[in-house]
Amino acid sequence: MQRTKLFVRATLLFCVLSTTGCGYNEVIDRDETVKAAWAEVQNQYKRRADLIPNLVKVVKSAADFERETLQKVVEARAKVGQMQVDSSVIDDPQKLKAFESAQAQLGGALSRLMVVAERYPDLKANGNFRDLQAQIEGTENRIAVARGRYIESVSEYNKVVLRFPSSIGASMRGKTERATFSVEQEGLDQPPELDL
Amino acid sequence: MIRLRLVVSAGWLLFSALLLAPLGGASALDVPPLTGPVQDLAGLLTSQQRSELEQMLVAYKRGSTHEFALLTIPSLEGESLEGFSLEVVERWKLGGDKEDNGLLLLIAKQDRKMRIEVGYGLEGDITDALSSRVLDEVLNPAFRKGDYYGGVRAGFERLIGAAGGDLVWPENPRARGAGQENGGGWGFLLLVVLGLFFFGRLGPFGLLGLGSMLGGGGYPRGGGSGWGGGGGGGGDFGGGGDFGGGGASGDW
Repeated sequence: MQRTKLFVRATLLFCVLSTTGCGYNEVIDRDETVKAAWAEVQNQYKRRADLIPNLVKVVKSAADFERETLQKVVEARAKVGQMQVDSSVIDDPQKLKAFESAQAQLGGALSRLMVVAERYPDLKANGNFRDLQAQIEGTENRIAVARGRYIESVSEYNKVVLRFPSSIGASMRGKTERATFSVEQEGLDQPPELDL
Repeated sequence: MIRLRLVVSAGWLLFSALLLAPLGGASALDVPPLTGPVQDLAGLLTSQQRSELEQMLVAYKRGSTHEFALLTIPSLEGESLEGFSLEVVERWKLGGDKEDNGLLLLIAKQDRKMRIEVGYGLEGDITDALSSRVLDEVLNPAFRKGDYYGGVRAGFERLIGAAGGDLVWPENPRARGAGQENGGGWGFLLLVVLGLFFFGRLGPFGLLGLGSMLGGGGYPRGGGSGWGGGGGGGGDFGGGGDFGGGGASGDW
């Protein structure tokens, strides 16, 4: 009995004296990193969405482009556009999942469109299209990077929240474990199936 | 008793941290250390060409603060081009800490793949579309002819044109020679000391001889060891710049 009391006191003293304060401040730093990483994720997804109207315009100009493929991109883009995305998404696993799956759908539709476009020589020769293609590829890569960094930041944050003794400070701050993206990159693992 | 327990567990923590540290981040293809703006591990350039590219990129840094670098590797060894490229820039941190104005041109010889990785601060000037055009329209045709130097040089010229800023060559050719490489610097110093030793006893003629040695330059140029760190008032690359995956990939 005496011993446990002493142990608790020693732990508390250790917490107060240690620089991390048992996660009390550290959890805030990690939290900010997560938020910054999330902002970048959102940024890059938005960047991709913003490129799509131009892409659709250019692709439409190509004679008899596969309607269905184009339509899927337009629909997925609309769905992403309708979503209410604010910072609460990162604290709500359901919302995060919905966000991720809508974005994955758009990513899939887009990459299929790019594959189909290979069959249209006049589109491939079109400088506008090639520039847009490069920008979309670049944005997909940025998205992959931003997602990777977000996953990493959440994992660091979760470590602080879950591990002793930093979990003490984290719970005093009211911080709880966060959900994260699935590690598989969207669209990269399974190439879109193409019936020629 | 309790204190002892704390000390012991702290010791354990430290021990396991030390034990585990080297295990992290080991991958099949290691990022080479940053020794200068040109690292030709695939051996695509002659030493003359490499030194000219180095001088150009250092001169460009002097006139713009932008840090452009070239890395050629023999093979990606199965790693993804984009993944490795990002690893390199995350390690090298090209560009200024606040400006993020770095750029990496990565060439994987056996894979016949290449990538331009653009720092956050340059994304506005060097768009993905531009990077892609430089790879497709400048590097690709030259590489297909086997002209690596021509392609890389013309590519950098195009990118420099887009990013703005000047190439500032050192006014003093002596400084240029000395600043060019660190390894050469020591040889140069040795020559000066030897010169003093020999010519020192020859009076005014000796000094004249030493003077012409200095003015003539040329001596310090050599096989060229790495020159990261300090050479040439602009040779310090890797200022803390961040990258976010912007740029483009290509092949030939």
